[in-house]
Amino acid sequence: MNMTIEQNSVLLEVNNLKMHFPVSESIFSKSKTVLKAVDGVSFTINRGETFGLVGESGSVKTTTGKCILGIHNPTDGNIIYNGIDITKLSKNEAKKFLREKQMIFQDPYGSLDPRRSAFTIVKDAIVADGHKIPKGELKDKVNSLLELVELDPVIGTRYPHEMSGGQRQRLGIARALACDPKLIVCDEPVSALDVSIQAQIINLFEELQEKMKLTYLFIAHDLAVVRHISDYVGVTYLGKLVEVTDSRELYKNPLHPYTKALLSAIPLTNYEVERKRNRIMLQGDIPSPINTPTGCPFHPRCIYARKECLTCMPPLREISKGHKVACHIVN
Amino acid sequence: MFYYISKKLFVSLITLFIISLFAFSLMHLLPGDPVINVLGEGATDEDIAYWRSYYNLDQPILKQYVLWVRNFIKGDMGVSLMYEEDVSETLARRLPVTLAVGIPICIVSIFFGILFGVITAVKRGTWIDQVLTTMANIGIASPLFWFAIMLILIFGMQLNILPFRGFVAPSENFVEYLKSIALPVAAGSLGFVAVITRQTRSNMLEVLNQDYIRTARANGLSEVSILFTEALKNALIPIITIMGMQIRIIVGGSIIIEQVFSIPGIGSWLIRAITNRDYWIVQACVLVISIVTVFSNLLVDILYGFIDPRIRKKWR
Amino acid sequence: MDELRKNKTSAKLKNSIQVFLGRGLLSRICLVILILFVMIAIFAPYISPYHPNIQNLRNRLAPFSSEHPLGTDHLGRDMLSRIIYGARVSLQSSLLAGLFAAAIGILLGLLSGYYGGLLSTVILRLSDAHLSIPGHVFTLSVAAVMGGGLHSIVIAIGLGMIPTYVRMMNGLVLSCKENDYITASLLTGESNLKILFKHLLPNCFPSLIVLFTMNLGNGIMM
Repeated sequence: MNMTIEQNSVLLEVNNLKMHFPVSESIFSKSKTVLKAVDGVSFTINRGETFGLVGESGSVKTTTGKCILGIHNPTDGNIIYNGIDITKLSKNEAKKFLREKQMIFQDPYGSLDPRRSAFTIVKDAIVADGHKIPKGELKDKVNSLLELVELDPVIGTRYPHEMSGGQRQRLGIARALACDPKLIVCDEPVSALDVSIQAQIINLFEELQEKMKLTYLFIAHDLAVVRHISDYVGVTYLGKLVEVTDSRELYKNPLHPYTKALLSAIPLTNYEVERKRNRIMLQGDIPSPINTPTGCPFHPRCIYARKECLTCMPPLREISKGHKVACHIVN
Repeated sequence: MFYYISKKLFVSLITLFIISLFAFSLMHLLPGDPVINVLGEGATDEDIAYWRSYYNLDQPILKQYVLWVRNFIKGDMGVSLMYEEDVSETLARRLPVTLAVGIPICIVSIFFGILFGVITAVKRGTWIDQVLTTMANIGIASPLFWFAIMLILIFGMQLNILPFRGFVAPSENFVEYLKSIALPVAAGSLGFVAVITRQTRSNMLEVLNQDYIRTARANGLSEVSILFTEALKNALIPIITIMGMQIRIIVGGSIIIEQVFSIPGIGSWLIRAITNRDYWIVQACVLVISIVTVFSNLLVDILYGFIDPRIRKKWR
Repeated sequence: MDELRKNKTSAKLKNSIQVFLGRGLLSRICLVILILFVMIAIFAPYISPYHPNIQNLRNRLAPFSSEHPLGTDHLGRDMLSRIIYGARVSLQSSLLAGLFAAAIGILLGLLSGYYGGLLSTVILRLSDAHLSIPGHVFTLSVAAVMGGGLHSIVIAIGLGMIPTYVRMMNGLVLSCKENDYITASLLTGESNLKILFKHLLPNCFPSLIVLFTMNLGNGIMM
């Protein structure tokens, strides 16, 4: 979409990010089972662009987002934000960048404190960093933020349970904007909403991006939504990134068998074409991230799987300019 | 199972350690010197010095604690200053009395609680259910001492059919023993019968609605065997949890029971010691009572692990 | 805007009272008894026919009469007046003890649930040990150390009730802090203090009130 943004410099670079969670803790036996939520993920996001992360349900996408936000401390790898490796910062140093990175949550109700009114929720976010603002100015600022996300300031007196799903998500966005963020991690921000509202919220995201020069990491399992908003898309499978490219290329020329399967799951609007096309149906379930398959994690479900796929994890290779795939079969 | 038990045991020992610190610090928290407090201001310096060194009070506080714990484990709990009685000797005499009242309370509560719970669940909605449930609610709401006094008034004083004072050891005269504990046990178990009845009733109702009970019925199992083998077994698990939590309340309640019915057990001894500020007895009683509670809880936990394999797994 | 909010809160209050009264006859009777009890305690000096401590040795252990509706005790004091004043003391001490226990227990539970780690282990172990000492034994021995008087009873009963609050609050905070709005507050850079007292505490309040009212009854019985 915004291919020609004026500053094409890199805002965020994720290098070989790993996040492993120990599964069971015990005093007597040192358990070695770990859940590899994120296992070597690398990508970059340019300023003012949107990077979409897609994949089946699992914990890769959200955990990556939370590592970037500093909620999780990654097991290994670097996250370079604005030229600074934020995984190596002390708590106090990291605080400086805290408010620049915000999050929009999947569940718009659970992400709002049920005991605080809309006005208070936004006001809290403004004053949270400790600087004092005169009362009148604060009120104007809250109201202008509410208007920015297309909410009537009258709604300020309402509590989250008195609002609709779309209004709640807008309020969540207003809260994130209150911190003057540069990067917003949107964790499936529309999947809990009605389809009609989804479009409104997606459009709001795009408008805000243009107005405020925001950079998004957009997490979704719905490729159709991601296609609409993203400049670049990364496809994840079991803790790994299997294909990265710009969104037009991905939809025109998907290379990884998993991406192909995901794309063929999107129903087409043209009935005749929809009836005739061959859909790739994935067999079986996504394996547990505790016992990951050897070699390529996708091989148990891949119709093209070869011998080498069983033993050797394919690296992420650049096939054409800006199009990377991790698959042995693709040339 | 081994991990489960050893872990529970470890936690119990830590708990006991903290309790021993509490019991030990009781004496040292209060203002003034405990020996002078007991002997009075007129005591001679020699006496004071003698008793101070007898109780190791002239030692540094850490050493005092170590010595106290070591003596306690050896069975030497010191001598009460007030009555010059040997604490461990008296304890050995009074502990069986408390147990002779406390254990029947537990048995009676569990037996009648489960019985009434099953009856009310099976006869749900009938007058039996209504009467027993109402009584259970009253039992939960009424204070122990009030109920004990009412029992004394009715059965002891008005009807004059049961003794309401003192205690006869079962080794002396078993019939008299049963008579002497009848009222205390009735008073002490009321609240727990009520709690267990309510818990059993709701658990049974839940279990009886499960599919496997319907299957058992369809297979032609008799109603009695369904109730007591299939349903009760599964309803018991939450009841054991309740029992575990109730143990400290039963032990605490026995203090009131012993006081009201003048039973020479640990509870009434503790109250006398507290009113007299006889710290050595208080320390020993608090520790002994707590040990009893901690180990009965441990027992319940282990029982629990045997009955429900899921819990064992969680503690692995 | 403020007026609107005020209207809303009063409407909410009305609503919750209606829900409560809608629960049936039994709850209405309970409410009446409770209010009566509190009223008697508050207006004790105006209601009771005699001073509770005035002795009348000539009229000892008197049976029920129009003069003394509930008779007199072994020192000739009016029983009714003593019960009325007793209600006052009971209510006062159990209320104070409950507040004392709630204040300390909630604070410890908040800290243990929010920060976790060693702090939580220490706090939970201590409260477990506390729970292993039977309530009466604990309260009586603390009262013995503290000496007589209302304040020592309040502290003894209050100290005895702390671990239930700690356990409950710890559990509530553990589940409450998983909510996305806590993450969101952390991301906006809100201080821990504000998250503890402006987000976690208010959201745990409804369950705490249930525990508090239940403990009030226990406190009176102590």
